[in-house]
Amino acid sequence: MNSRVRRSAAPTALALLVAGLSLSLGCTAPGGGPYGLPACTSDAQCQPGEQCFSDGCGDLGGDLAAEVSPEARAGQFAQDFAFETVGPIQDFRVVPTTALSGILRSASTEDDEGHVTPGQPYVGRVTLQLAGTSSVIPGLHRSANLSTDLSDGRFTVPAPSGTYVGTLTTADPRFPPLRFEVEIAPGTQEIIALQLPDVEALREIPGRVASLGLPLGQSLWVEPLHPETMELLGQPVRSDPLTGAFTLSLASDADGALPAVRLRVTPTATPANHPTRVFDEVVPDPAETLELELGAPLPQVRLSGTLRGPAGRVIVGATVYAEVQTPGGGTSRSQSVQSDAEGRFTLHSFPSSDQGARLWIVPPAREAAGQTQLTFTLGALPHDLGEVVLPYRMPVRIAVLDPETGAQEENAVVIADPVAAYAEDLPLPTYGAEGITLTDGVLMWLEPGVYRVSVRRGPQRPRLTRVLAVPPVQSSLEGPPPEQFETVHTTVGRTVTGTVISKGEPTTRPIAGAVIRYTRVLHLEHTSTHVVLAETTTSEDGTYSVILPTVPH
Amino acid sequence: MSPPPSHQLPGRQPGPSENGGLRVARGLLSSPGSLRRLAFVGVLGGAALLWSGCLIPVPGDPIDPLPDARNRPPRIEESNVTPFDRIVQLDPANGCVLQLGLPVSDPDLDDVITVRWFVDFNARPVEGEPQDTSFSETLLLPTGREDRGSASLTLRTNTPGSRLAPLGTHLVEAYVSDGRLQVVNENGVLVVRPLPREVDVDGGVIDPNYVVSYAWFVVTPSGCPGVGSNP
Repeated sequence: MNSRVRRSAAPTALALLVAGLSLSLGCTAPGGGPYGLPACTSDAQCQPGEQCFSDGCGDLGGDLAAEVSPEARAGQFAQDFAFETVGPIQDFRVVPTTALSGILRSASTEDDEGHVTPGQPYVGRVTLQLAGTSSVIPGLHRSANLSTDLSDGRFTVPAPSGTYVGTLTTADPRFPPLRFEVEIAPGTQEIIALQLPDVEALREIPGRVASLGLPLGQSLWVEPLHPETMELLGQPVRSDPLTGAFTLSLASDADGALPAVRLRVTPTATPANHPTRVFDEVVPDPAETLELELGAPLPQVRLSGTLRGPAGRVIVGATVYAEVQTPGGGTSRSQSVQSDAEGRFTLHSFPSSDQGARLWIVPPAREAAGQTQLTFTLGALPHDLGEVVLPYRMPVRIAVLDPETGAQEENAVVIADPVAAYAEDLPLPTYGAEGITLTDGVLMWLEPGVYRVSVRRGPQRPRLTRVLAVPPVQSSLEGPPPEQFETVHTTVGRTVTGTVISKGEPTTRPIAGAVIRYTRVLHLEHTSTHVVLAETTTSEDGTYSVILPTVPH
Repeated sequence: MSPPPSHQLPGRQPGPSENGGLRVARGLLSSPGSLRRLAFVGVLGGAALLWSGCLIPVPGDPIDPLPDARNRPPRIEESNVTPFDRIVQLDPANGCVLQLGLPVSDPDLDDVITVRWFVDFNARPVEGEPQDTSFSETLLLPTGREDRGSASLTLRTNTPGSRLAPLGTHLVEAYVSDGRLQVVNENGVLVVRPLPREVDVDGGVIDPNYVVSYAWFVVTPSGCPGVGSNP
């Protein structure tokens, strides 16, 4: 299962030819991005029985998986199923509860003869957080949480199947958060045993945070972090607003030594009068008070400007904020504001170090104007940037075509979801886009990035998907850039029916209202993701019916 | 068994007084022989009903016809909303990514469903600020069944302009309607309302569209990428 889509040489050669033609026409080839050109541009370039996907020609029946969500309200979360092929009848047998169970104990002890005595079950309140992804369907994020009082150390948290990083935090602030990795397979109740560090190994580290030697009058979060992984080595604590005092609790190693830590200090109040500061290479010593000096409070500087699109029209509703490196080494992000009906914005920020201010401007979705960043030095006086002219987004026209007649299909809903950045030095797009096709397709203005394009049509029509790479607009162009034309080909559909059944003991029963999503796994060059092929809900008798896309005959 | 969709419900039918029922009766009474046969059948039938203990219905007003089919609201299938918890703590362990999924159904099979997403919707904006600050919109087309699949949205803290990037608690809302949604200012308060389906000549709403909503409280901790303190 999950074999990569087969590639053939002919489509690759044709793609190179298309790339050459595109470059000769002055278009920006998406080959500059990490995902390269797709190895095919239409189904006609593929072998019989194959279709053109983002990563080459492939069999529609391959790399299929399904997510079945029986009933989250009853604690029955999503379970994943992978198949080699999907026949006309596909039943799903789900288990009543997929869950993580475990026991939390205090540290075990070992006597002189090497006999280990398990620790006592923990009694008290804990918070358990699971964050991860599906083990079968890449790009599908999963999470589960539990906050409960343990009376005998045992806990159970219902969770969707997946691969998780778990964090267990006790209400007792002396114990550091426990991190663990766990895979919860469909139909299983995974069991883990967690052990708290020995109380004797815990060290209390007194500290004080100050501004020019004086308390700040505000409370701050103090977080002890691993110097490289930035994981929490102890529970975050709040400083006292009147004295600035705080006490960290860290676990020492077997030799009694404490690890070097990074301390991140973040104001909890808004507006804050200090940026976030990180103190590196802090070697804690229980015998000494950590003195964290933040320097003088920083003034707030007013920053303003007016936004115009590339055609001169004012841009209303753009999100604007500043990220600042302050002279003392701190970092800050201003609050986000929206440009008003005249395109004006006003925000407040800390002064920056030399070229340490970066202003982000993100126009709303559906605008032709694209996001931009301005880097400059922000002094202590109010600063007006004047008129800021934003560049174009890339115009992408998507047409839904019948591969045999070449006719365009109207009234199809086209959704473009960002799934990855176009290149490492470019951000992941904030917005996707959505539109309805007319006689000439649908025009979308997109930031550079990799998008999952999904085409939904009427009843009894299979959903169509493909992945689309959108390159940056060349800044040297005058006027709007030429449209990037993309096609999605219609396919015939085949019906798959089945029943969702609970495998519970002692009875086995059909599940009504279960949500079923058929997906296809996509292997991109640096990452994997998925597209949804079909989605439905089971009826009262647990049966369902979906239309999956298939190869035209 | 689900009820038939509204567009398949029978419309208003003409009553007995409006159709040919009376004309048939007049035809029966037009000849003496027919009258005698009718009287005989009537007496026989009456006797049979009395013998069986039945009450003979007294002619009265005709039964009111079925009213015109009205629009019915869409429904959020709350049993399988993701994430299921209403309060969501973003986790740096997975990059503080939030994937939302909202299964929707509508008994009116032809209705197109609009889902509009808001993050920290400000219902009381100051003058001059944009009034529709929705994050995005999703359309769910008819599927031939009541269920329409899920509207989904992925939010991250490290995308430019992410509305989840500021530290603290955010409100993420989804408004689901079977009509087109609009944000209207009612005495300084912004309200999300659907445009009505059918309006009378005097402006009254004959057949409304409906909107239902769902909300999550999302907590952004300091370890999330792209997050910093706010001056």
